[in-house]
Amino acid sequence: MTISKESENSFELIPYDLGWKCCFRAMASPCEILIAACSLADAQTLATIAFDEVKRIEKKFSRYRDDNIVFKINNSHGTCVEIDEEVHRLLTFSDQCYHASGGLFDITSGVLRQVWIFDGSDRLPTTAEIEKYLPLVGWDKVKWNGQSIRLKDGMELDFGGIGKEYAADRVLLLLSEKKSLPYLVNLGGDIATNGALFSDHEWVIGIEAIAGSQMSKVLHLKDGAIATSGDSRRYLLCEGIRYSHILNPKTGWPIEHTPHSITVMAPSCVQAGMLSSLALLQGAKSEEFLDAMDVTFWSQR
Amino acid sequence: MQLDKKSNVYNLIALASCSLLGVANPALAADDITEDWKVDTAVLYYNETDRVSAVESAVSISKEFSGDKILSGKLTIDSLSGSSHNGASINENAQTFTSPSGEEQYVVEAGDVPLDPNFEDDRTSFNVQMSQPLSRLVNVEYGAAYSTELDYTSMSLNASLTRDFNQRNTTLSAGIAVAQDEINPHDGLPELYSLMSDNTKTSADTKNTVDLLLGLTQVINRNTIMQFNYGIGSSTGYQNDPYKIVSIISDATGAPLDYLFESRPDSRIKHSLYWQTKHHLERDMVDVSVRLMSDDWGINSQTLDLRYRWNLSETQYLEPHVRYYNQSAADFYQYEVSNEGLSAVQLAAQYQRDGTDVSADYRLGELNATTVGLKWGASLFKNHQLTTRLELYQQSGNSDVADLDAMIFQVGYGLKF
Repeated sequence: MTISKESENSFELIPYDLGWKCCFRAMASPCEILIAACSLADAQTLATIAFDEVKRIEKKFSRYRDDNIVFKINNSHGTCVEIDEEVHRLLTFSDQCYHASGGLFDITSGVLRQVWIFDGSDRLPTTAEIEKYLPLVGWDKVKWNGQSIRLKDGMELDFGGIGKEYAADRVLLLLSEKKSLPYLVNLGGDIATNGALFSDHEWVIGIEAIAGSQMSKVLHLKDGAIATSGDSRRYLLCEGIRYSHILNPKTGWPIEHTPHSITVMAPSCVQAGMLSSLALLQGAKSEEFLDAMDVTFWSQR
Repeated sequence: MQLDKKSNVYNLIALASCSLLGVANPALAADDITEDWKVDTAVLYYNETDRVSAVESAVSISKEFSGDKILSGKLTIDSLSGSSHNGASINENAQTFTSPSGEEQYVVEAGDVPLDPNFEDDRTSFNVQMSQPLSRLVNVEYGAAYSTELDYTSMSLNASLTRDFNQRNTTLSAGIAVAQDEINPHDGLPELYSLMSDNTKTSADTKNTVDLLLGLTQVINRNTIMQFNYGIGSSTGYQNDPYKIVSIISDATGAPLDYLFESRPDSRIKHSLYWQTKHHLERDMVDVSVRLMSDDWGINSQTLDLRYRWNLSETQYLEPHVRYYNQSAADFYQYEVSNEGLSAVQLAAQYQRDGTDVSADYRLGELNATTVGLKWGASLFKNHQLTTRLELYQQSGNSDVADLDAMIFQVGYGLKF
């Protein structure tokens, strides 16, 4: 039974043996919400809540739109932009991660993409090009408080590194508040769940192996979240060196020897996502970094 | 050093994630920032008006190991002194008693509650407990305890198993505890059915106890959790209080002829039912519990306990507490016994022949007790917690000897690191 067609503008609600699947596309990814068995009316209400929230976050924080707060900030030319409480929370989170990572995680580093085009080709930018943009990178140059933010002219913010994970946690939170049921929220591989369907049940999550790799992995999740960061499709290859899209905001150059992807398990999806991002920023020491934290993870090199 | 720095990064990210989501949801991150060591210390002062006063000091330490294993231990030292009711009834004549050692005598004035002024005891107790998961849903806990007083030692072992069901909304538990106590007063135990005037003693005796407990914890909704426990306990062996006597009153004169050492049954089976509900309001918490107990000595008791945790701020709370307790008397409880026209020696012989049990210990008589208290807790700074508690206890029973007022004051300090 198909309730409505899957598209960018609506969701599809499909019954399956353990409840309902709500499928749609958002944030350039396939999204799937698993809802434990409940009435059709409840499932529709819940699916609508999930869909609306993902779309709301996408609309508000996407850098591909010209009608949202991110566009307003990125085109403020050095003037002050008023922000709401949610933006302030995301800025605070980014600030805390910036400091926790010693400046490696930086939401102003997106501007470097103007010189680094990761299309699988061998076109590397010149040092001069990179140095032209480096002064526009640096979270410590941003002035902000609870009401407003001011960027230097030319600087940009990019919430792409946390948006999907944030949306997954938010959806799970809203669903759990609406109705106490087990849910699994999967936004393009960033997954958050609040508990199993029944005693001894575990969500089984397969991780796709990267092209050319024999490895594949099945993770068992009771509750909590997983998130994956990687460069499997976005890189440059020049003279046998693979340049990942993970850029060091301090040098403007890609981090070397990063794994292709890292999947991390954590209590929340934003936490899992940040840990996997920070791990990638450690390059060759990604696994060592996570080992020391005693978290469950899986890396593909 | 490097390790510490990395786990610090982990904690920072966990905290940042929580505040981003606008929830202080412990399920999301609090588990990952637990501190390993926990130390709690407390000093308690207990004072009964005109009777016993006690000072108790306690230190408990727990350490969490990897794999959710928790090892904990607690040391308690009490010191009690003052006057304790010896069991005899109030009489219109002055009464002279011999202390249990037989060496000292004390006189109780006419109309006064017979109190032994030489009551003194020190108790040291120690327990060690280990808790660890056996599998994802099953947890096992086991431990041992030892306590010693001047005339009493107790050793016990316990073990329990808990298992989560129903998406961890339901927890079932089953536990067993066994204890062996040895009663060994300095001068020996009074001979059963002997009279105070005889002062005949025997050697030490023992008591064995087995307790079984079944528990069910159920999450009702986001704000409410309920617990049900059923317990059955059996103890065999020496159950008497070797310092308690029963007045033998002359039918003719109403004056005490002598005093018989108490005799309780040598076995006891107790059943208890316990129900507790904790309900979180928007900011505060209500905690209600009821305990029903019944034993084959004829004692039935009910306890109603109500606490309201009033969270004044993030760091301070006030907790008013009311407790009401009521019990019926044991079948063999008697305030005093009549000589039935016999001499004290003849009566004691008759009791011995018939195996009659008798005790005048007010703790086995009808009792009503009310406790009213207030607790204040404050986090002084991160991971340090100060608590103080003041409680007033009022008790009444079959007779004036059971009337008791007491005050409890406790100061506690806990820290995690």
